[in-house]
Amino acid sequence: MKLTRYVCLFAACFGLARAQATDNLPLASFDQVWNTVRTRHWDRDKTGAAWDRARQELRPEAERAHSASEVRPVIQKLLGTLGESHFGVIPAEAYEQLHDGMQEGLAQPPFDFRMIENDALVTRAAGGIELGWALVRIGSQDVAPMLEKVHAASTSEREFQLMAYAFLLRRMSGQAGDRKSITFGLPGGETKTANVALIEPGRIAHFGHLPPLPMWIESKLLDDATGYFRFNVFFDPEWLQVELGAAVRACAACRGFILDLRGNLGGIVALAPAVAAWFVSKPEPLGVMTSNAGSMKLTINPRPGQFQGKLAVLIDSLSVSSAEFLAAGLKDLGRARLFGEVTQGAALPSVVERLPDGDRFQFAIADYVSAAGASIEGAGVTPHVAVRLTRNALLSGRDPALEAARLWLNSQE
Amino acid sequence: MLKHFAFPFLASVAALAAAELPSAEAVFNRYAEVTGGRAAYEKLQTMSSRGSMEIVGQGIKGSVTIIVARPSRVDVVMDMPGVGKFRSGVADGIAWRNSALQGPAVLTGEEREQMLRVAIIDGPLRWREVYGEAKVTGEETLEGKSCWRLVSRPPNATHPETLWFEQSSGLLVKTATTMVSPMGEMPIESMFSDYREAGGLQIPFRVRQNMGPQAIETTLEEVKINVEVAPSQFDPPAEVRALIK
Repeated sequence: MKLTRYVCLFAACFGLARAQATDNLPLASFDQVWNTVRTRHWDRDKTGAAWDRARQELRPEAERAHSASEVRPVIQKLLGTLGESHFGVIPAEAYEQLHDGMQEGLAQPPFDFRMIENDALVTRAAGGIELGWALVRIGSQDVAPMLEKVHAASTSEREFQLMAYAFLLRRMSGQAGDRKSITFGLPGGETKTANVALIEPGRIAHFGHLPPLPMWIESKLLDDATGYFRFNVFFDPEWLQVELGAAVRACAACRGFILDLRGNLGGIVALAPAVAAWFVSKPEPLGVMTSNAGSMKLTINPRPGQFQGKLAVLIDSLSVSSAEFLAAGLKDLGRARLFGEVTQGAALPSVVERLPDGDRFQFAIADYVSAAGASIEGAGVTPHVAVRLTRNALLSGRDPALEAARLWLNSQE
Repeated sequence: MLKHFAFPFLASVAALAAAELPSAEAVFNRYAEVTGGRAAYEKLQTMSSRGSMEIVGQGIKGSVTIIVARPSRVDVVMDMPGVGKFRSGVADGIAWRNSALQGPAVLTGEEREQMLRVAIIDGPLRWREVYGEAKVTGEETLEGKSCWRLVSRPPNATHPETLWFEQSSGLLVKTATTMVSPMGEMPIESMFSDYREAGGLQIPFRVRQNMGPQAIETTLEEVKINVEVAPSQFDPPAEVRALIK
C-alpha cells in the first residue's frame, strides 16, 4: 500500500499537467486511461485493433460526460473490454477519504489483526491485548464507519480485507514510543480501552524510491521438532537470506518445516525464487512475468544445504504478490502443501495514477503466470487444505491453519 | 529498359559502398591503437576500477569494483543498499556468481561464455577471442557522430553482437546484443563515453546499459593499471566453492 502511496504522489503531478492541456476533464480522463493501457499493457492483442474499436465506440459517450461521475461508468465499460482484473477507476472522494488522517511514522502496535466476520480482530496477542478482541475505536474515531468507507472504495471482498488492514494499521502507526488510545470489544460485549505503546518491529527496509518499510522476521523451532519461519515483506535480501538459511540449517533433522506467508505483503519479485531455493534440490521454474518490455522467467537456483523434508506453507487473504508467486510455485512443483485461505489475487504489479478529473486509475503493468500456466491475478492461490480463522478459535487461543499444518507434518501422509 | 539499366547501376553502387567499408580487423586494430596501442596492452597485467552505479529512475544506487588480471581472471563486486551485494568472477576457467537474491552458482553455457569474455584483459588485441567472426556492415550516425557498424558472432553465442565505432576517434561507443541467462533472453545495449587516460590506456569512465525496461549507469571514479593484486582476490566465496566439483 505504501508503494501505491508513492506512485500516487508521482502520478498526481503527471495528472495535473495533463489536465491543464484541456478544459474537458472527463474526456481527458477517458483519453488518458485509453492511452495508458495502449502503451503499458503487456498483451498487444488486447491493445491493438480491438482497443481502437473500443475507443471509437465509447469516446462519443465520454464527450457527452460533464463530470467525473458521468465519465466513470464509460471508462469502466472501456476497461471491461480488456477482461482483466486490476484495472479500475477509484472515485476521487473515496480515495481522498482513504488517505485522510494518515499517521506518519513507522512504529506500529505490537499486536496483529485481520478482518474476520466483519470485525478487525486481534490475531497476535501482545502487550496485554488478547486474541479475538475487536478493534472498536482508534483515538476518538470509531472503526465501523471507517471500514464502511474502505468498503465503498473496494472492488472485491478480498481487496477490502487488504485495504481495511492497511487503512487501520496506518491509523494506529506513529513514532516509536508513542502511545495510541485503542478501544477493543471483548467477547462478553463490554469494551476496554488501552494505551498501546508503538514499537518499530525488526528493521526498517529501504528500497529505491519506496518509503522506508517496517520489516520483521520470526524464526523458531516448534516443540515437535518442526521449523517455523515467518516474515512480513520480501525486502532486505541479505537479512532475509541469512535468517532463512540459519533456520533451515538449524532444522536439518526436522521432520517438517512451516513457511508462514500469512500477512506477507510482497516486495521484490526476485526474492520469491530466492526463498524457494532453500526448499528445492534442482533448478526449477517458479513462473513467468511478462511486461511490455519482455518476459522474465523466475527460476529457482537451489541453495546448498536446502531443506528436503515435508514443507507446509500457510497463506491467507493478506498473502500478496511475491508471497503468492512463492506459494503458487511451490504448489505447482508439488513441493509444499498449502494451508489456510485463498490469497489476495493481487499478483500483478500495479500502479495508480491521477486522472485529470481527480479520479484515480489503477492498472497492472505486467502479467504473471505460474509454472503450471495458471494466472494468479484475481483468482488468488487456493490452499490444499482450506482452514478459516474464526473468532471462536482466536478466543480459545487456537491457530487452526498452523494446527492443520502440524498435523500433516507429523502424519505419515 | 529502365529496369535493365537501373539494375546494374544499383548493383555497382552497392559494390562501391561495400568496397569502401573497412575490414573488422582494421576497425579493431585502430581501436586498440587509439586506446593505448599494442605495447600498452601487452604490458597490461592488472586493471582495478572503482566507481558508482545507479538503476536509473528507481533510486537504487551503489558501488562497483572490477578487478581484472592475467590470465583470464576477474572479480566484480556490486553493492547496492537495500538489494544487497552481487559478486561474480572467473578464476581457473570457472565462472561463478553469488548474491543474496540469486544465491551461489557456477555458471554454465552462454552465461559462462559471457563471463569468460569479461575476464580477457587485453580484449582489443584479442578481439577474435572476444567477438569471433566480425564484419563491418555499414555506416550509421549516433548522436550526430558517424560510426562504423560492425556485426560479430561471439564464440558459442546464440545471438550476434553489434558494435559501433566512431569514425573520427576510432573509439567504441555502443554495443548491442541479447543476453541469455536462466531468466530468459534480455536485449542489452551499452553506451560508452567519457574516455579518459589511465596508466597509458583510454578507458570509458561512463557506461549506460539499457536492459529491457531498466537502465543502469556506471560511472568510474578511479582506474589503476598494473597494481599488485593478491591471487586470493579471485577465489570464489565458500558458498560457490561448495558447488565446484
